[in-house]
Amino acid sequence: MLFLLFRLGKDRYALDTAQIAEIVPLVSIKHIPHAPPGLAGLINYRGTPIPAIDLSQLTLGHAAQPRLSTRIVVMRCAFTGDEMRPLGLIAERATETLRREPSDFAPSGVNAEATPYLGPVCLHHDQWIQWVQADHLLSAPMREVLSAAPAGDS
Amino acid sequence: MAALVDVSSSNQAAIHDCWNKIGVRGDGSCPALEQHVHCRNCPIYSAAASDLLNMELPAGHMSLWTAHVAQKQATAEATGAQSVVAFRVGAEWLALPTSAFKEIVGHRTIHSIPHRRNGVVLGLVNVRGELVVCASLTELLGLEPTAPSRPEKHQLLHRRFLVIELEGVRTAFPVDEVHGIRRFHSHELGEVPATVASATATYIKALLPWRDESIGLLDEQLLIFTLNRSLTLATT
Repeated sequence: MLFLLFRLGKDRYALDTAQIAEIVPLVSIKHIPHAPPGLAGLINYRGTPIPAIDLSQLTLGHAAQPRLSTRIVVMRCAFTGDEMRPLGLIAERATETLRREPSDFAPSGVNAEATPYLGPVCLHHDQWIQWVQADHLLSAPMREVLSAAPAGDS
Repeated sequence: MAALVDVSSSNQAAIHDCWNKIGVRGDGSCPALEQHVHCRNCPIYSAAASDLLNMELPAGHMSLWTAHVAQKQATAEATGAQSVVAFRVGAEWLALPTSAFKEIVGHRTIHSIPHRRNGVVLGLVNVRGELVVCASLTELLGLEPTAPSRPEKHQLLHRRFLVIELEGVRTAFPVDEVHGIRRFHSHELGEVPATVASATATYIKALLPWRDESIGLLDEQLLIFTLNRSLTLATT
């Protein structure tokens, strides 16, 4: 399996590339008033509005830095029911990939009730890399906001 | 897309370009070269690339990319585009779906299998240490055998082996020439004329116009069926 590595603060995290449709540079975002924290807004992806989650905002409480290496990872996620919808993830330093088997990952042993998207961990260059499971990224308030919005695909 | 990053700006001052001074583009005196051979294998080089990517957004970068990402993209599935690899066997230009290809390798010796001669199975070839059954498309498709005259030397240079994987079975087919990958839309395809009496016509599902001729798109399902039958005959 191929993973895309990115950073949240100093730590590195991984996303499964099988779910990634495209990685695009940082584009301008239309903010949504009263959106739950982490939901950065809407981006225009190939002519359709898709929601974008700022992973730094979601986990660390501050917005991702506007840099060249900060990119929007367009994922295909089943975040409302079974329907696959595109979801943009704003990730810092999304510049590297890593090849690992799912069996290389070990359970983190940390209770992840509040953060169900944080999955198992694996070692890479003496650093723990945590697998971020995009299907579980959206919190209940986010799902509520997005289920009211029309689907991006049409 | 034009280069959007102006690396000559002040951002570069922070990057110590040792590869231009003591590395492969400099005088080559860096002691780490012994271990890494080339600067591109060195962690300092990749760290510099990472630092370069980590710089602030240049002016106009975001608006340019916003416009670019907002454009509709014609995807292969949406437009019905297909891709095939075109190759020549004798005088015939044929094609198989690109997805069926494992690789295309240079010409190599075919090791014949004793007592297994039915024309279709030519023998075994060694592809990266793996023995792959080598079959003749000329025999399989009932093509006109190539002229027995000695082929020119330059023609021999174009000979390749197509390594095809269909239904989990790998087979190598010797061909006289490989043109490469062709992309087309289904509306470009032509019907196979009903008047074509050759046995090849059975295996060709459509014709793709190309230059002054046409490429016959092979029906890979029928091909694998016939091949499997020939293999069974060859091994019983």
